[in-house]
Amino acid sequence: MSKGTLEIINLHANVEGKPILKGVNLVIKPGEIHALMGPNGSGKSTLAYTIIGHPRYEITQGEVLLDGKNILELKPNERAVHGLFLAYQYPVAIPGISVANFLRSSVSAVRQYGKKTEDNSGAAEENHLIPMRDFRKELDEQMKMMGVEKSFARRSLNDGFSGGEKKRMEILQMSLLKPKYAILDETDSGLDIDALRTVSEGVNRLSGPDLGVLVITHYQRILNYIKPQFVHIFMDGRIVESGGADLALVLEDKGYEFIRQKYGLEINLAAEDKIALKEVVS
Amino acid sequence: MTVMPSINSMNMMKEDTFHKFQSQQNEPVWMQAHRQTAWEAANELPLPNLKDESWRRTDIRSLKLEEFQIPGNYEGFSKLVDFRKLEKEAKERFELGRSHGIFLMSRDSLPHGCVGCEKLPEGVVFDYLENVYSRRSELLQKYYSKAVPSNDSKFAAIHYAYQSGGVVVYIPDNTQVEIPLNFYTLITQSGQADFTHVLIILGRMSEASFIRRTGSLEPETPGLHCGVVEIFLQEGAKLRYVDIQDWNQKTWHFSTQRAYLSKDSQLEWIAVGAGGKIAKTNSNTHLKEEGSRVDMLGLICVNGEQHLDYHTLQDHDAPNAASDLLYNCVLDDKARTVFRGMIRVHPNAQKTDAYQKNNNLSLNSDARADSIPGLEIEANDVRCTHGSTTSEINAEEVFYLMSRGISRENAENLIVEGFFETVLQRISSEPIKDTLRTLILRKLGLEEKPL
Repeated sequence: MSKGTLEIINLHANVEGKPILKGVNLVIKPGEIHALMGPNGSGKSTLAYTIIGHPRYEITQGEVLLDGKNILELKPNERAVHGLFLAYQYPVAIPGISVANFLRSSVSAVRQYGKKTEDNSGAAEENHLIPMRDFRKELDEQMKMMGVEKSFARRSLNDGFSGGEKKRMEILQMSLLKPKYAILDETDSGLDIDALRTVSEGVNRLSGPDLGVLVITHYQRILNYIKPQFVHIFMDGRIVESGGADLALVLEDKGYEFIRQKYGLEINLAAEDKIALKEVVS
Repeated sequence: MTVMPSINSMNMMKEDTFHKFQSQQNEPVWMQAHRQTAWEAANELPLPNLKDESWRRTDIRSLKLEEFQIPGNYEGFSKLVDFRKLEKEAKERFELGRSHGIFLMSRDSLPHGCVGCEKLPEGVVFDYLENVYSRRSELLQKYYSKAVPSNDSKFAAIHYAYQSGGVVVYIPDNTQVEIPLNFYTLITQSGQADFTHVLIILGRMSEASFIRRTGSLEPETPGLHCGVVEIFLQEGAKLRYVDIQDWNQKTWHFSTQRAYLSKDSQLEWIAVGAGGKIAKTNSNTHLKEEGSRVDMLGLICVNGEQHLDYHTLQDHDAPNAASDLLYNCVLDDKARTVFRGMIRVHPNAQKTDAYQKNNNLSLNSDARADSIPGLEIEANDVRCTHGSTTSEINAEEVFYLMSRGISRENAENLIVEGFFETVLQRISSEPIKDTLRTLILRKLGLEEKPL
């Protein structure tokens, strides 16, 4: 495979002994936007967490290769350094850690600031942190672009943030960390239309020939803003159908029920999915 | 020159020792009489033991009072030690020169003396208790030992018998002292007992910031602190009181602290617990008049085999008063903390607004935090809440930070810092916030991060 490709090969994973991922195959190249659509409980988020390295998920088979290297052997922080990023559906709130302090630690770590400066003698004194002045300048610029108020820098990370503020914070992190591959897990959930637009614009601004994106979503809605070239339908722990952007429209038209029948899958759709389907179908 | 007979290395609980000590003090009759009364109480009162409800969780059976040396004369001592070296070390320890404020070293610490006292406004007293006997006798007689009487407990009684090297702060009415007043106590000798007394009186509409900090010159020398803190705030007065307990881990610490608040007065009371072998601190606030408010903040960080026991009381004895307590403890190794808090609302204290929260973060499964929050409410129109949490570092928080490139170690450190930061955020002074942050990061073994 070409350099810079993210390859998910026959990935199987268990949660508490129960198989959730049952052979996922997906290749994302730089510059591509993929959408992964599926009903609740199908294992979409598990896929995201497994790629990023959450300890709760036990990999039983398969590989995830980035630049040909199996990243499943790496710790979550090492995966981030290699350019993987997950925008969480439910970002964790941590009281007492300011957004600025957190972001400075994160950016310094992902850019391996300490390692670079250790060679230039003396510069590594500041605990391998990017100089405050440089960081604040960059942060202010990015915050302005994301429509985030300056006062956010002093607030505790995600603590007391509204749903929209949390999602904006995730994309702000993405814009500072500049990953090679970004997974957006249900980024549209809980957002009103204005917030959805701001967040989507943020993602679109970051996309380009060097970034691969995987948009995980339940609804077609976000795909009106972030346009994928590839759409995959995820059910029962694997991708059951792949196609172009028009596949999302087929899904919108016919619903997950159609896919389920087509593949004879025995999935119990959650009640909310049935409602969602009605919305999608009507 | 004749060297006075040393009274060090004599058993402090022996009659002879007390009388020799007393005879060496140059003090007024009323103070002599007070010492005598305290001495009698010290002999009558038993040492607390595990059967006492408030001592159930703190075992002091290994305390041997006779092994500690009462404050002696330092004339003989000064010949034996390198004074200059001590002075340099003491200054470095307390970062004198780097910090902002006026500094007084306890008279029983070496070196002693005031740095910057000439900057104080007219009428302000910030001096050793002994120096104030003659100058402000009426003030001392009115307040000394009135918040904490000498028969309050065995430790209070011993304190008043041997009280030495303490400080008096008096701010006259309508006087604001912006520059912080720092009082430092250093245990310099092995087996030294410290009996420093802190007496703070703020007149009507006055303001001050007082930082009390303790430490030991050497990390391994045994020490004993047996102290009393008395605070009186008159109408509309505002005090920030910072108590930094940073003895070495071989020092016993017994401290009885009480504050009385008059109408519309405000107290920001910050307790930092970093040092000590076994420590028992009783911090009581008495909201005696309407409109008074106290914020009690605790930053406690223990490791090794430290055992720190805090008892707090928010005593509401007037309507429309507010109290808000937040004590956060971080425990590592085999350390233990005890937090026992009480909000007491008297029948007259309607419209009381009282809050109490104790959070404990345990970094080691061998550490143990006991939390016993309590309420005693006798009024019917009040808002009182309390709560406590005890947890380990949250794995989801660590994962979130790690997925952003931060190593596990740094992620955990950030979370611990954040745990203290939630308390620091409530402190209204930036320089004090910075001082305390530095102190805690050092205790946690983390370098200070510039931010």
